[in-house]
Amino acid sequence: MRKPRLCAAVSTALSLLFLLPLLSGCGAERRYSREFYGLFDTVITVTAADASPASFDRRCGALYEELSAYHRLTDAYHTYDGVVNLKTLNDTAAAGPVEVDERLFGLLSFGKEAYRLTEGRVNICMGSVLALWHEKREEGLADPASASLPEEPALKEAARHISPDALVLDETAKTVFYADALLKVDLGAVAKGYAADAAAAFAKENGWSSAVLSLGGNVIAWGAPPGGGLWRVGVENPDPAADQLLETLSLTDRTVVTSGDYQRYYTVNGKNYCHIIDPDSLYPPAYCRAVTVVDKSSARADALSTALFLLPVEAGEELLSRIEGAEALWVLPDGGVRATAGMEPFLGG
Amino acid sequence: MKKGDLVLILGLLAVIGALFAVFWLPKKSGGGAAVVRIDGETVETLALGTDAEKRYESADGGYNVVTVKDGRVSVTAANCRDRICARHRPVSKNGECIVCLPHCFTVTVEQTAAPEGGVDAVA
Repeated sequence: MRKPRLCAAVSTALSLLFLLPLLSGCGAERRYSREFYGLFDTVITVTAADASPASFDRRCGALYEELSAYHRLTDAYHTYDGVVNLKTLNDTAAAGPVEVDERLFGLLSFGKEAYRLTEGRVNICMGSVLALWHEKREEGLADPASASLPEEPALKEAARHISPDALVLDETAKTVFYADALLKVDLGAVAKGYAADAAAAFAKENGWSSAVLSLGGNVIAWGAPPGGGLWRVGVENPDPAADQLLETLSLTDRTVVTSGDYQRYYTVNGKNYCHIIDPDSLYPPAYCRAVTVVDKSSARADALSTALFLLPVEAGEELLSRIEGAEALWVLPDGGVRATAGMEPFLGG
Repeated sequence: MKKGDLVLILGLLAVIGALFAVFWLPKKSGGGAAVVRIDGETVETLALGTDAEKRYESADGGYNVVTVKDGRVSVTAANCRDRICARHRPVSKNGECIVCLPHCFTVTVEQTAAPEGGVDAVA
């Protein structure tokens, strides 16, 4: 009679074993992370709940392909076989309408929308002005001793060719035409956010019900992290002497995007010049050190964080009051922090 | 059910509990690590509890020097052009990360015992 009892004991114990993961809340899914390079001039990190390393790998691969497509379409410096991309447009769209992939068309349409939304602060048609700054910044970083600013007359001349009206989009034919021969489009203020939204939609469809994706600090999070609760997204401190993050936001089904002067800049005669340029003054603004936007759409958050960086705080608050659902946190020049009232529920993580 | 059965069940549960503790629970020993990755591949994991200074070579003659001191990690020297990594403040909380884009190099804090202040991403 001993054996059956042993069996009963073992089976009781085994059944409890199978219940254990449920009891401990682990479930079948675990947390996996990956980082990859080569896209959007930045590092992309993804953390997701998945059933196994193999399935996480497979979904990462699919996500990489999806993001690669956006990267190629929005690349202004390289051409790819069989791809009509931003470089193609900047090189040839002044000669006549060019048919483009609907993803690039969608992004250009969003760019024009962003101009209206931000009341002219974000202008994807500023490429000619931004190219002058880009060139000087690259030279200045390579050889700091001889760093210089773009020539004022060159900036003024370039600024004559930044009208969004010159970017002609034909919704039906999906064609793009540059009505100004010197127009250059730069998608820097919107491409990562737009791609983040698309990548998140793709990843959800492809089986990740819970993940956080970061395109170089352009963060989008959905679902609940393994273990429950909310995702925790840090806001970087612009002060390099600080000993911790500025804030930690607790959220999900939101995106967090920061625009700041503390990463991409170069120095001329002891003064720092960042990569975000005011479309009116044609120089970097100095209203704040950084702005972080929390929103549901990463494309919109990307555009808004740039726009708010280009506005005095009060004017930015006014702009936001006309936009439903977007919240912001400013780091002022003296290091002080200011946030919209709607930011409160995310703070204090 | 006899007393022996109960002992057996409890014994088996104890073994299972021990296995569970080893395989399922997150690692809580050691007070955290700084994980150095180049091109997304883990190159080395440095214990945050032990002060150290190590140099990592990336492609094209690039290098980053990682320093662990007092439980915090920073990049203290690098030959990249933008110097963003070397200017970054030292980090010590789970999920905090220092990036050197030109060298496809990151150092990330992981596995610290204290979950307080840890993050899943930084914007």
